[in-house]
Amino acid sequence: MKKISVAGIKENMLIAPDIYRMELELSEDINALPGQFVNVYLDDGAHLLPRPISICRAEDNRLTLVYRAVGVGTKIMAGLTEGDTLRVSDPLGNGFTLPESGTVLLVGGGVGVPPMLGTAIAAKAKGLNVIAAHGYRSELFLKEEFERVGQLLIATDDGSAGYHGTVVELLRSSDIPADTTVLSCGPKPMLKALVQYCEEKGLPVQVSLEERMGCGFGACVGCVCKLNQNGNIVQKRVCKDGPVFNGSEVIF
Amino acid sequence: MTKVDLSVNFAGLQMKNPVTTASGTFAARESGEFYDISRLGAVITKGVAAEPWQGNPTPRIAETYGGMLNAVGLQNPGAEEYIKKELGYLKDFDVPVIANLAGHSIEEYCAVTEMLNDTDVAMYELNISCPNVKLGGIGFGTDPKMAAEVTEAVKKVSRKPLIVKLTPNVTDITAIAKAVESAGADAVSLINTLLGMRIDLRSKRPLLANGTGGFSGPAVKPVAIRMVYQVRRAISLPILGLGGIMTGEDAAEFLMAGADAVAVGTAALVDPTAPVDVVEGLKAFMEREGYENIAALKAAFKG
Ligand SMILES: Cc1cc2nc3c(=O)[nH]c(=O)nc-3n(C[C@H](O)[C@H](O)[C@H](O)COP(=O)(O)OP(=O)(O)OC[C@H]3O[C@@H](n4cnc5c(N)ncnc54)[C@H](O)[C@@H]3O)c2cc1C
Ligand SMILES: Cc1cc2nc3c(=O)[nH]c(=O)nc-3n(C[C@H](O)[C@H](O)[C@H](O)COP(=O)(O)O)c2cc1C
Ligand code: FES
Repeated sequence: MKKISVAGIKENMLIAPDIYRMELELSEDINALPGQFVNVYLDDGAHLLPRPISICRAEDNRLTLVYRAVGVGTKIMAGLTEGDTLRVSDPLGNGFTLPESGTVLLVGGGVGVPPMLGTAIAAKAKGLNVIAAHGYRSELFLKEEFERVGQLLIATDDGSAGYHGTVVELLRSSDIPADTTVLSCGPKPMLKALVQYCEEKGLPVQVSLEERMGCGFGACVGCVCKLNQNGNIVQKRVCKDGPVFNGSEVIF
Repeated sequence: MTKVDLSVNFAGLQMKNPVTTASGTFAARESGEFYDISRLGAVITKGVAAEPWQGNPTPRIAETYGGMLNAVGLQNPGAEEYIKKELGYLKDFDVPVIANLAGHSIEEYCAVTEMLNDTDVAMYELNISCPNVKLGGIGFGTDPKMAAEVTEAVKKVSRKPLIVKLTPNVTDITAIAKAVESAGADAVSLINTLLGMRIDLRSKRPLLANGTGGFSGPAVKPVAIRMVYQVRRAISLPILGLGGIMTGEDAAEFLMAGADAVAVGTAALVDPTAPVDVVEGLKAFMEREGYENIAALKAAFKG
């Protein structure tokens, strides 16, 4: 059975403006696929809905989440410290499908960067060639972690580091091998531009989507997105059928 | 410690306990990944219509203090798919299924009823109250005459007991309850969601793409309790009480107010195991307080 567990907070650190890295310890080992997420429950009696947060890393019974404090829930999370507890669900959703061989290009934008780290580590363990290309507003995070796994390309909105512009513009001026599979998580405009780029280059692309969720486990049909599957328009649940979809099918 | 019998007979349906799932907050496969659904008194499935419905655009969900708004818009795959997928899956569980029916017109309500007559469904729950669908729902549930008309028409074609689900978005819910009672309903359920709205101060637009949505969750419980209490005094049909139930004590409150069974909705979205937790919580409460059965708990009310 799937379950919600009480996790102990081992560390909750500010790693860039408004960006926190939270290390959680669970009582059992976590079996997560790259690109899956967990529901975080605030348990304050007022803010009831689960906050979906991507799994940045899962190793044994340790879970790493990297999140931006944007609203009431993530600000409550930011206020927690070592020794506090937090209820989290088992890993949810489908996750990325890694190719059998060749190169994976991992494209992250903002808080879409964190899930690409676990994905990069899994891809490297599978013997794939790993390139990461990340777009940040300004300040970088998880840079060293990615550099340990593969090649890292960086774009910033304000030009404070790496390429000055969007990550898709950066890709257009880079050499991407022909055997590349693109896996991505980030804001919709970035994903849309990326899918267009991949279609031009003939590269397969998987994208991880966001939507407002009621349950986060497939029961309420609150979180649907629209796909075009061979001319048929179908609605899929981001939390259960996704969050990862074939980029060329997504109707943005 | 008192030995407790949780079983109830609800409008002819024998239930091992009075707890079921609120329509739209339960999906057999997905909810069943978190608990054994055979432990529930019954399950009420998501609203189903004769033909598939697309539902509303997203965002469909918004959080509110102590609750939520939803404007799913009754997205459903249609009766044929529902029979295959949802009922097909539920066959293997020892739990009665109550099908929640949706329609834009009397003809559509009757069509879905007839399509489900030959299935294992134990009972129907007629959703005449969903506030989301611009074309239909709201009209039927808010007018006593129309509520009676649709009840009578569905009752005529139905070969299963019929619960009529009432909307709280009315001035006097007892008038609607009386109307559906005289039209032949076998039971009523209440409350459906309260019509609500939130605005995003940054975008200066409604948080829901649909503008308004149905308000549910613990914040609505006092409204639901009051309405169950009023309807209990107005009609003699069995009542399925719901609206904001989070715990066994919440369920006990509904039973005292006049409900004969209860349903858990939003709580099951924010905590997937909530329905079975409510069963256990109710049992523990009754053991502690010395109620041997549901009838004894209901009879203890002094209001
Ligand atoms: C599959 C998935 C994975 C995600 N992974 C991450 C991650 O790794 N790191 C990270 O920083 N953020 C991530 N997000 C976004 C994160 O869920 C929201 O930032 C968070 O829910 C905001 O909650 P809040 O209470 O701070 O904001 P509020 O605006 O106060 O939240 C109000 C409601 O809206 C919902 N909501 C608000 N923004 C979003 C959003 N962008 N997406 C979905 N629901 C939202 C909240 O869950 C809550 O129900 C992810 C979203 C999804 C769908
Ligand atoms: C996401 C969602 C979907 C719903 N869908 C339906 C539905 O299809 N049919 C129906 O009769 N009621 C539907 N409802 C209403 C619930 O069944 C219930 O009446 C209401 O939410 C109040 O109970 P609660 O506070 O326990 O959730 C829905 C509620 C929610 C939150
Ligand atoms: S959030 Fe409920 S189905 Fe996805």
